[in-house]
Order: sequence, then structure tokens, then C-alpha cells
Amino acid sequence: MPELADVCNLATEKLFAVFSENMGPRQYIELAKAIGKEIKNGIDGIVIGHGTDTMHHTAGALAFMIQNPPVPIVLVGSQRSSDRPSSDAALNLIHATTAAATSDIAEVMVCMFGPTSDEYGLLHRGTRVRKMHSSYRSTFRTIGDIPLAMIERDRITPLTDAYNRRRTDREVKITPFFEERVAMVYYYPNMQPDIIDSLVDNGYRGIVIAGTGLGHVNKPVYPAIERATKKGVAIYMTVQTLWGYVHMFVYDTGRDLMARGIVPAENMLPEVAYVKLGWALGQTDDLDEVRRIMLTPIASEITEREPYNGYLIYQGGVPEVEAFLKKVHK
Amino acid sequence: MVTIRVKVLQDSLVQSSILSYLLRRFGYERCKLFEGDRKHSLETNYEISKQRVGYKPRRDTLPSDYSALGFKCGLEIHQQLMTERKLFCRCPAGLYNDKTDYDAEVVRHMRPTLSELGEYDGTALMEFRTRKTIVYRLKNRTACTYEVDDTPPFKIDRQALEIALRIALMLKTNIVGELHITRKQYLDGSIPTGFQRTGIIGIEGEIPLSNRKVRIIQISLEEDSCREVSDIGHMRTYITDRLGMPLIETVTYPDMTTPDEAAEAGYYLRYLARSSGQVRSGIGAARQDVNVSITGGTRIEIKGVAHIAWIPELTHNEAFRQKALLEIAEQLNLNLDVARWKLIHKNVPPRLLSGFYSMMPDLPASHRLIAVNLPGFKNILSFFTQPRRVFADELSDRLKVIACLEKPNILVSEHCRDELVLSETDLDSLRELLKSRDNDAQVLIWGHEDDIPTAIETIDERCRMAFEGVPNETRKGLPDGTTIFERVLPGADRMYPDTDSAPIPIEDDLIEKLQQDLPPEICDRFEQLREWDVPEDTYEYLLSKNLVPVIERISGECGLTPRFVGCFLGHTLKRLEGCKPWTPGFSYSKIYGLARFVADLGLDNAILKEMLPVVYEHPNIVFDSVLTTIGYSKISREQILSHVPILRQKFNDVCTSKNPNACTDWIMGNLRKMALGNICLAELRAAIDKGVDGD
Amino acid sequence: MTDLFKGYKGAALSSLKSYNVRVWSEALIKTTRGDFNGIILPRSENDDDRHIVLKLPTGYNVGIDVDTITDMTEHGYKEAHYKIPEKEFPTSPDKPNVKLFGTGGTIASRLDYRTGAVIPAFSPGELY
Repeated sequence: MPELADVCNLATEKLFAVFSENMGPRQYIELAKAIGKEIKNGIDGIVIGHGTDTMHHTAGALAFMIQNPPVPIVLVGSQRSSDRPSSDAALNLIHATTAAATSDIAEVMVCMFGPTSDEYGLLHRGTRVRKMHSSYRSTFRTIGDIPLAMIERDRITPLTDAYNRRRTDREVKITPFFEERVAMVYYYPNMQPDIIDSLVDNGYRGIVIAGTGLGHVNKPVYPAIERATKKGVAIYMTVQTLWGYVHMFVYDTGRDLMARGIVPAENMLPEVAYVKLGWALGQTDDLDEVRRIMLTPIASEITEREPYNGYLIYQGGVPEVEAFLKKVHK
Repeated sequence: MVTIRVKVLQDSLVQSSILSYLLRRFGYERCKLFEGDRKHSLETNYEISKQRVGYKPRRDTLPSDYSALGFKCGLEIHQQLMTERKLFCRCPAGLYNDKTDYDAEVVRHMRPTLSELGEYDGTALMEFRTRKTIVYRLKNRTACTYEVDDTPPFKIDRQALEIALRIALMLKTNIVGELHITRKQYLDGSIPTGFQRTGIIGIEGEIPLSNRKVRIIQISLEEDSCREVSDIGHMRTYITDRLGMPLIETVTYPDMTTPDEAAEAGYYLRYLARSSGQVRSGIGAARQDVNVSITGGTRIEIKGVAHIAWIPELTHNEAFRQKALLEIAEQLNLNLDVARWKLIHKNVPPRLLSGFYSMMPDLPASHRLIAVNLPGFKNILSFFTQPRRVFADELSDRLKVIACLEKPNILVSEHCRDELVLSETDLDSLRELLKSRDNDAQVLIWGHEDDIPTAIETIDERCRMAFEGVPNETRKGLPDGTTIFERVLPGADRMYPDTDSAPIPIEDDLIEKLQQDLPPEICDRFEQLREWDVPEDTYEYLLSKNLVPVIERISGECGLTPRFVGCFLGHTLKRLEGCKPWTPGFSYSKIYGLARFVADLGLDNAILKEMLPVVYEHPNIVFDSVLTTIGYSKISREQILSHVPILRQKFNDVCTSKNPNACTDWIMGNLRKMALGNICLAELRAAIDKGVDGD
Repeated sequence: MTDLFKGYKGAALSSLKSYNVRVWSEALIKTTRGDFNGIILPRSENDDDRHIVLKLPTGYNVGIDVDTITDMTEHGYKEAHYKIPEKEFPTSPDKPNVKLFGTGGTIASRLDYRTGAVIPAFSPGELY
């Protein structure tokens, strides 16, 4: 890909050769350390080639392990392999290296196609992004916010000014820790308490639940949750709707669950809450400290407000939707 | 997108103003082909080189001439299958949209991929060099996420697989044990993935032609490509309705040794596919690629030939084009050394060309005008290549495709077609600018500055290839029998296994089931038609529409001779179709019903020819009313014959003709309408001739 | 030893062994459905054990049902060694320095052209 040489001086290193389902805590830690070293050595930007399936898990983990980076850290993948003439790999790589080399956004980001067309890419914040289609090129969407920027071959257009700016200093804090005995449970109607019990009995120290609606599970599970929290297992609630906050005060269910020790995780995405809990428990056994870490926004995994239009716009090349809505509903 | 569109618009404005400049300069009537230009006819280099090549029109070319050339031809016949769905997704097959009717557009670029050996393929690099933006138009009804390569393939359509297998059996090929889907790369954008999914059904078959057997290399089942909407400058637009429809490709060995034999094989393969009764017909449902080579030449693929009838002229001209290119190579190598050959190009300063610039004051600032000197190329640019085409066209065609310079895109120093020729004063200026020598040739090109490096490279590349003879390429056939450059012939390294599909076993049970129900062979069909004494001029129509089974049914069940039914379909119905397409509701079973009706009433079958146009126009009409419409009434034989004496008398009163049949003809004419359906016309005529005038 | 019959198992493996034909050999296979000539390819381990994969001279792959095979002979051998050339990435002092870490995934994977498997091999040197 000769175009890459026009963008930057690119040095490459193969850390692993795995499909993304085989990425996990060991790889997060190794990656975070390697990036920390590069930053110290004065690099201007980092690109990480990654499988797309769990790219948002890795992005979340790196956002916590590499705090306050001075340069852009860009994860990139492709939905079609590069042996296919219409592969998105080349354009994604060009976009990602351009972002890493020249953008002013010093955060952990995912860079993938905006629309399915070969037109522009979007830079998504690492803690607010999710793969939303099994095969589409524009599979990544920012959830609960709007993407950070639009990126073309020769231009980066920020969509917001709320981001960390590139710096020349080399100060970065690497916290490469992860507790592997953390699980995520996707709630379904008629879930039985033994699901939770078996996790607890197997020594799990943290559980993230993706609950229904505002953050709910059914009554039969209550005793199991109470038993778990009493045994010192940290349980956090997120929402299956992905968009929106956990609100456990609206219904009795929520209040009952909080009384049993479940902690609402604001508007953290379930996968992000999972990696954050693993990362928090990796650092301390003190559950109050874990709670403090979990609920303190570090990399916009929790946001104070949700833009009214985030759900509607900038989600794959249809700003026209907003114009349309304005026309229909004044 | 917006910026691209603006640029294209600008380019096409530039091109059209150049065209109008040319028209103004030469006048409309002079801007036509120069073959009719008597003033120059015999002494032009075009004519001289044409004689050197030994070009003859096809009607004057004998099979021995083709064998002297070493003419060889093979076919790749594409035929769409009649299925409900597309091959690898669940979209409906056979629905077409208007090219301007679409719901969305998707933009893609094709990028060359590394081959197995870590090299880029020649075509691949060229296609990439053109930097084409490909736009796909989608209509929800006919395309899903599969068509735009946003979803992997679904399971292969079983219906398509069984039809393909059946035809593979008819071709007597060796059926594979397991179908493996392969990706065949196409970088022109005609398929959004950049490859076509295709798989071999059978290999090594044969078909019998009148003089020889033609061997089949293979038959494959594959997905159809997009339809092109436009290709202007750097943007090519496709519509995706046809994309993914199942088709079979039958490839023959290059066993055909004359253009007519190539057409014969084409027809045979078409009839064979049609005789399955499970393939589509109509515009675009069957398309041919034709491979031609001569001794010393190269295998040239003429793509997308829409009509088999075009094959002879196209292959004939291609054979001579290759001969011409070999002559050019010989000529060039006589005086020049390709290793030391080097073209010179220069920016043409503003105002240097009084002729060109006086008419083109508004050439945009981003455009460049480039003069190129081709050392030793005198009399090459105007060298004959095809009827009405010269070597300069080989350059012009490539400039359009590779460098995206819309035509007209070149002016040359030598006399050939008027619209290609530089004016005398401009030519002098250029020769001075380039410091040309007597034996050199010059060309002038113009276009956007970004495209100029590729354009110069393209001219250099094509001129160098001229030293070698016939470059590897695919060409597009035109209705006038000539061809234009389409693409460099893709290399062998463009077949990759499709990792998205599992192999599909083809069981013996299925083959046995299909084997039991194969239609008769086409050579037997020919034999059958001859035995029935059906006139030969109907064969193409009857076989391409698979009407032999219809003839069998109607003649067998309605007491008609096969010859009569053959003529009825192959002449009467064909003539009606020539005037007007089928009315919805009309079908072959209507024709059967009509024949049945006439047979049941005991009417003479000649009346069918009068009734058919009414039924063709009004398929749902009651057959009784058809009789009324055409004015039929039942009259006995005796009554009809009773008119003969009076008519004979009348005729004798007025006639002056010496023709011995005149009397009978005249009486027949008068009685025809009355007789139709009531008496066999031949019988009536015999009766009149014999003087049996009733009682 | 098993590498000679890469990916084959059960009936297909026995068939190859009984005719003494290896993967990557050029072979003529006679079957009840006619003759097939080509290069024997490795077979994906998840596919069934009833077919042998053959690359035809035209570049297409087909499968041959072992139950239809009446004879098989090897008349050549041609193992593919597929390697993408690594090239030095050009640098210039006025351009920013970027580090690319490869972890795998589709972006780094490519087709094993002969066998058709997608392999997560990644050599960043390929990028230029």
C-alpha cells in the first residue's frame, strides 16, 4: 500500500496473530505495555490492527490501561480481507494511519467505515463504540454519544470539541492489570438463580449484568444476587438497550436490586463495564475502592449527558435524517 | 461524491466543446469515416497497408484463406437460468429496473490484490491506475446487502444447480463429485466484491457440428454481473438488478477454424440450452465471449457479443487485425530497435497551435495539451487495422479506458479519419517543437493534468507493444463488426477458492434422476425437422425457442402435419412477433387450443393462419368469435365449386394474359375467402384446373 | 507422514494411500463420471471424508467423490510455496512517526491461495 508512505513513517510490529475472539486480558496487558513504551520513545501516533469482533472490548481495556495518552491510539480492522479487491482494509488503514499521524485527538479510538461506501471513516471513542452488524462494512457505531470525527484521505473533521488534545509531553500512566474472574451475564426472562450461584461458587469476583429496560432482572434471581454480594462479589448493572442510562429508582424492581447490593453502572456499555470491572478488580480487593473506580468516568465510558440527537445522527452517513426530521417535526 | 460529479461534468463539457470544434473545423459531413472519401482512396496509407495485410471482405474469404492465417476460435457462452431467486441470496431473479430508477447508491473502489507469487497482475495494476470511482445503484426490490458485498453468500440456489447439472449432462461432460465455489477476480467493478463466484459443474464434453465435433472444456455455474449505466471520465456507474442472477458458462476448445463454424457452434450451444426449457430468453439473457487467434498472434477475447449473428464478422475482422499488427511489428523491427526506442513528449505552450487554440480558448487551467513524438512511426499511425480503423485508434481506445480521457482524445500527424488529423499549420508547429525527423509521427493529446502521466505512459506502452505484435487484451465487439480495446487480458492468477462457501456434494442419485429426463439432442432435432420436411429457414427460430416439442404436441393431437405446424410457427407466428411483442396472456397453449378448435370443427387448417393474428392480439377471445371476426361462414364444397363456371366466364371476357395459370389464379383469388376453412385450397385449385365446376 | 495427505481422513485418505498419490501431486483420476486431471490439493479438516480436492489446469477447484474413483495415477509433483515479499518502508524526517501493532484479525489475514483457508498470518512488511 504505497499511499501509507505519503502519510507517515510507519514502523510495524507483530504482537500476536489471532482472530479477535482469542484476544483477552493477557493480550490487553501486553499491548498496553508496548504502547506505553512507544509513547515514552516519542512516537507520534499508534495504530493497532485488530479483528473486528471484539475490537470494542480491547478499545475499552486500553482506554483504562493507558490513561491520559499524549497521542492518538487508533484501533482498526476490516470487514473484508485484503485479498478481496473491494476490501475495506486499505481505506481503513489509510484513515487510521492518517488519524494516528495527524489528528489532534489523543484518545483510544476505533477507526472504521462511516457508511458502507468507500467515502469516509468515523473515529469512535474507544469506550463508546460497538460492533453492530455481523457483516456490514460500516458495522461500528458510537453508542450514547456522537462519533468524535469524520475522516477522509486528506481531511479530519471533528464532530465535537469535547476530546483530549494531542500533547508533546510523554506523560502517560499505564495500569496493566486485569482480574480474569469477571463474568458478564445477559439477562433473559425466566433466568434461574443457579446461573449467578454457579459463578459465585466458581470463585468469580465480579459480574456485569446486562439487564432489561432501565436495568432489571426477575424476582427469582434476587436471593442469588444477595448471596453473591454478601460473599463479596461485585455486581454491576448495565442495559441491554445499549442506548440510555441505567435508572434503578424508577421501578420497585430497581430499588429492590440496589438494596441487594447491585450497583447501577450509569451509561457504560455492557462490554465496557465488563473490562472496566476486570481492570478495577485487577488493582484492588477493596470493594469500596472498586466502586469508586467503576463510577468515576475515566475515558468517557460514563458521560454526564447524552446529546439529544446522538441516537439519530452521524450513524453511518445519513445527516440527512436530521434534516428530514426537522422538516417533519418542527 | 459531489466533487467527483462536478469534475465529471467539467470534463464532459470540455470534451463536447472539442467535439464541436472538430465539427466546426471539418464540417459535419466531413467528420465521417473516410472510406468513401474518393479523393484519397487508393493512394492513402490506409489503402496501401490494407492491401499489404491482404484484407478481404468476409464474403470473398474462403476457408483456405482462414487456414492460411491459422484462424482459431473458441467460445464462452453465457446463458441465464430460469430460477425464482438469485444464485447466492434470496433476491428475486429476472426483475429489471429502469436504469434511472433506484433507491440508493453505494461507492466502491477496486484495489489490486497480490497474487499467489506476491506479484500484482497486469490488468489489476492497469485498472488501479485508472483510479475509477465505481457507483452502484440499488433498488430494494432487486438487491440486498449481499449484492453490495456487505453479507457473505447464502446457500446456493438448488433450482439453479439442478438446471446447470441437467445442461452439463446434455453436453456430455464429466460431472464433478463436489462443487467448489471459486472467486474469479474482475477489477472493472462489474461485480461489487471484485470477484465473481463461480464453480465447475462438468468438464470435457462435446457437441457435433455438421463438419466436426467441437470439444467442450467445461461448464460452470456462476453469478451474473451488474449492468453498466455509464462510464465517463473517472466514474463508472452500474445498476445491480441483474447482479447475482444464476447463469451457466459453457467454454469450448478453440476448435472452430472459420467464422461461420464459430457461429454454428454458438447456435448449437444456444439451442441446446434452450431445449432444456429452463433458461431465460430475451435481451441480455444469453451473451457470448469469443476467443480468436491466428498464427503468430495472441488469443484475443471479444467480450459480451450480444448476437450470435455478429460472430462471423467480428472474428473475421479480428483475425485480420492481428495480421495487421504482425505486419506493423515486422515493419517497425526492420528499422528500429525497441530497446533504444524512446518517445519524446512536451507541454504545448499556449497559443502555439493556432488552429486548435483558436477554437478552444476555454481549455480549463487544469488541462494540459501534450505533444508526443514517436520516432520512426511514420505510416504506422494510419496503418490499417480493421475496416475504417487504423493504428491510431489502438492508442485512442487505450487513452479512453486506461487514462480516462474521453474521446475525441487524440489528433495525429497522418492522414486517416478526418476527425483524427492535425491541421497542417499545427502539425508544422508541433514538429518544430518536438524537433521531429522525417520518419517520425506525432500525436497531440489533452486532458486533466492528473491524467497526463498515465496517458503518456499508455502511449509509450502501446507503441512498445507494437514491436511485439498483438498485445494481450479483451475487446468489445461493435455492431459494425469491428472491436475496440476493453481491458488487458487478466492473468491466470485470478482464481481463488471462496472461503465463504462450503463445497457442495453432487450425488449419483441426483445425476441419475436428471439423466432420465433429458431432451433429445440438437443434432437429432435437426434430423427430425429435416425428416418432417420443415423448411430450413425456420430452424433458427424453432430451435432457439425450443418449439420442436410444441410441434410434436400440436401435430400429434390436432391432426396436422409437422411441416404445417413448423411453418405455422416458424413463418406465421414469427411474422406476427416481428410486428408486435406478445400480448400478455398469449401462449403456446393458446395456439394448441386454436388448432384443437379447428380440428374439432373439422375446418380446413389453412384458416388457422387467418385466425392466429386475432388470437395473438386478443388472447382471451372465444375462438367462435374469431371465426366471426375474420368473416367465416360455413359453405359446402359443392356451393363453392358452383361459382367456378360463372367466374371462368367472367375471366374469359376480360382476360388478355398469356399466362396459362392466370385463369385459375384469378378464380382462386375470388373464392379464397369463401373457401378458407371449408375446403383445402390446394384441392380447390386442382378442382378448378381439372375443370370440375360442380353441377 | 500425515503431511503427505494434509487434511484428508477416512475414506478419502485411504483412497489416496491405496493409489499412492500425495497432496500437491499432479494426478490423473479416472472415475465412473469420466477422467479428471489436476493437482491434488489439501482438504479442509472440517469437510467430509468422501471427496478429494483437485485443482484443474483452468485454475478452478473441484471435488471428486472417492466412491466413483476407478484409478488414480501421479505424474508430477508441485508444492506451492507462497510468500509475500516484504519491502522496506520508506521514511522521511518531515513526516510523523507512527507505530503499527498487528494482533491479527481479518485486516491482517489473507487467503491461503492453494487451500482456500483464511489464515491470520500477518506480516506488517506486506503493507508497503
